[in-house]
Amino acid sequence: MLMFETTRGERYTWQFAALIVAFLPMTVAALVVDTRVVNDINVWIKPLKFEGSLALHLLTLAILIRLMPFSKRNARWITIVLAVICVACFSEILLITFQSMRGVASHFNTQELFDDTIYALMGIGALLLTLPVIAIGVRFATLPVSAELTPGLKTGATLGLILGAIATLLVAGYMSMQPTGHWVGGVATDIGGLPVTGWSRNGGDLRVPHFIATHLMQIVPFAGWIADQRCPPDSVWPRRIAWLTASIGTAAVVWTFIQARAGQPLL
Amino acid sequence: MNFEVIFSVCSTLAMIGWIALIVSPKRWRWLLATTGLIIPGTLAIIYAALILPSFGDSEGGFGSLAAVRLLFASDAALLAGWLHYLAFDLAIGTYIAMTSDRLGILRLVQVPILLLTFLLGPIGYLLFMLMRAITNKKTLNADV
Repeated sequence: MLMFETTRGERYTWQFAALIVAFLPMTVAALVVDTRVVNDINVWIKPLKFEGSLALHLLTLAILIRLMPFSKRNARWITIVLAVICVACFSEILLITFQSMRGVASHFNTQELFDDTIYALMGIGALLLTLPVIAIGVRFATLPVSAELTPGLKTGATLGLILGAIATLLVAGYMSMQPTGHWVGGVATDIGGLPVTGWSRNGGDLRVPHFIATHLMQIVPFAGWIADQRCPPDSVWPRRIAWLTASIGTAAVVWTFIQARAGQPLL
Repeated sequence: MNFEVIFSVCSTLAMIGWIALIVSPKRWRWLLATTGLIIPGTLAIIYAALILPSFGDSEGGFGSLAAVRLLFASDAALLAGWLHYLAFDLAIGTYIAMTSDRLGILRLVQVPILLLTFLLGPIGYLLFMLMRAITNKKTLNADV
């Protein structure tokens, strides 16, 4: 059946996601052996985090795009947008890995021209992997509800992608302009932060609102999908739950942003 | 014979093979035969010419790292070792390209895999094997 065919854009997305996941074992190997640190933590922690999050970004898009009818997701502009996002994500991974190999910071590294250039390239990459997501979100808004694109999922994908991308651009854009990096007050170190995330516990950390903003792209569609599973057909609740989740999520971004700017840790 | 000249000629030969493999618009049979058979074959013959006459005189061995280092102390053996890299990496690169085409791995995705195989041999091959293991028919093959 044509409807379940995989488009070229989808193949890009799945395959680049797989390629990024395939980087994980060698990154872990380097992490175990390398003793060099950046901001007091192992140089390979950051590539590891970015491999995880960018693979998740691509997988999210791959899964959501598949909910569109074949003729819609096979549109030329969708294929181009997905290819651009894929190349941007992979370039980020390459640049971060390259800087970790050299044992230096990838972000906020502006002392030398070479490092500053890499930082600037990563900024362009970040823009290219986020901005086009808004267009995909808008596309979801204009599609009719179907057996695949259930009401909660449709509203969730629309709101999650649009709000997630815009909030990420705003928070990350603001963060990139801070001379002190992601810390506000507190000690400028990544050691002793919250488990897994490494967020500062003695000062503000702009990575908190960045994290929540970015993962609206997963949380909101997922909430809509769960609601679709639980509610009878034609119920208005899935859409309401998607809106509610999006509202709470956006409020959480604003709240943690204000908190970080005030120099307060999340916990 | 000047070892530096042999080194330059062989490195250039391998480089031409890699560029052809990565950027050629189509994977013609003659192209794959060149990168998979002709270039590695030529390198193998030069390798044999280097290793066979000098191998008997070498003091090193394969038993320890120190013995291997001693083995590569002579320029002939060092150059032969380098040709070993060039020949095998390009042969593996050709295998990766052919298999990727058959499976439906997109050319754009093949670029970083082949580049990493060229620069950091085993890492590129590892990436290829892992990618193959975690992708499925639907995400690879179904072309439109």
